[in-house]
Amino acid sequence: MEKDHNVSRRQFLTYALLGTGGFMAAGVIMPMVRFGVDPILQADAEDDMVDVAAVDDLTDVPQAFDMEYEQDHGWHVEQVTETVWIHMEGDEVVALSPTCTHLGCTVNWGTDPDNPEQFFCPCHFGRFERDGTNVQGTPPTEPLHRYEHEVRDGRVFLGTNPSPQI
Amino acid sequence: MQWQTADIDTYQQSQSYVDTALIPLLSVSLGEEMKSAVAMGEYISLISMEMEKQFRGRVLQLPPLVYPQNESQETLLQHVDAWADELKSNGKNHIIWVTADPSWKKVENDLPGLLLWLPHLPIEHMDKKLQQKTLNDQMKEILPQVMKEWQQEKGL
Repeated sequence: MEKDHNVSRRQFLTYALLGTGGFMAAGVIMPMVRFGVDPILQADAEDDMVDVAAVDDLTDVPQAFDMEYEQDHGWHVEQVTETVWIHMEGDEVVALSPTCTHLGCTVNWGTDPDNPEQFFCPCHFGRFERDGTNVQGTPPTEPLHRYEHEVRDGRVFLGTNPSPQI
Repeated sequence: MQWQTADIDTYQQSQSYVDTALIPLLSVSLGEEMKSAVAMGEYISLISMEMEKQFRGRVLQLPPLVYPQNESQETLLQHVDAWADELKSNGKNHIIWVTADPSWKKVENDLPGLLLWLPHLPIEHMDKKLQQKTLNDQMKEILPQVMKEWQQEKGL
């Protein structure tokens, strides 16, 4: 009757040991693999763009909009508010940084009575055209930096890092 | 530019463009007026930070001049003149003093440079959005005053 078992005692012990051993090994190895491939599993960083304005609100005259987003410094998250000058150039949205490329003052649109159709920096009278190009003969040596943009469902989304225009 | 090592490097490279010093005037009291002194100080610090941001290419923001509330006007003016001498001898043509302390209003004419006296607004009770808006509105009034100061070629 004893011989009717189709698993011997020895086989049973082997299976049991292999089974629990396997589980334990997997428990150790899996997290290691997980750490190794972590960057691949991260959600795409593409959605770092911030909703700033409605396309319908834009005109061909630059207007100041506030851009609010959270900046992650690793351990703490900082709430940042930046101002962006946005206007339409034909069908194209143009979003410019208000930081003067000379020494970093804040530029405004049309505040110089002699040049109402330009950006004006109050510090050293730097001027920029509507598209951000620096006016020759004023201190700035490069155009205003420009934000990456995307239009989704009638809203303008901007990247958070303005980059130089060449 | 701020009173910080990172900014001072930029300052030293472009000194000739930075001809203005920004100095907050803050009165300190631990007596009855403690609370209003703190609120004023907070408000003036926010305003100076905002001004630094707007004018950072031409304005060097210095640490505030702090004085006990009962300090005599005479001593204060002497102290202020010493600052002005130091700044003048280093090529700063303009000084902007920012304060909410009304006693400076009376000696405005004896003060070297531009006095921006701002009535204290209870900004500490506002939420972030309203706070920013109030500061922006205040900046709109400050901007023409600073521009006017810069138009006088020889400020000091």
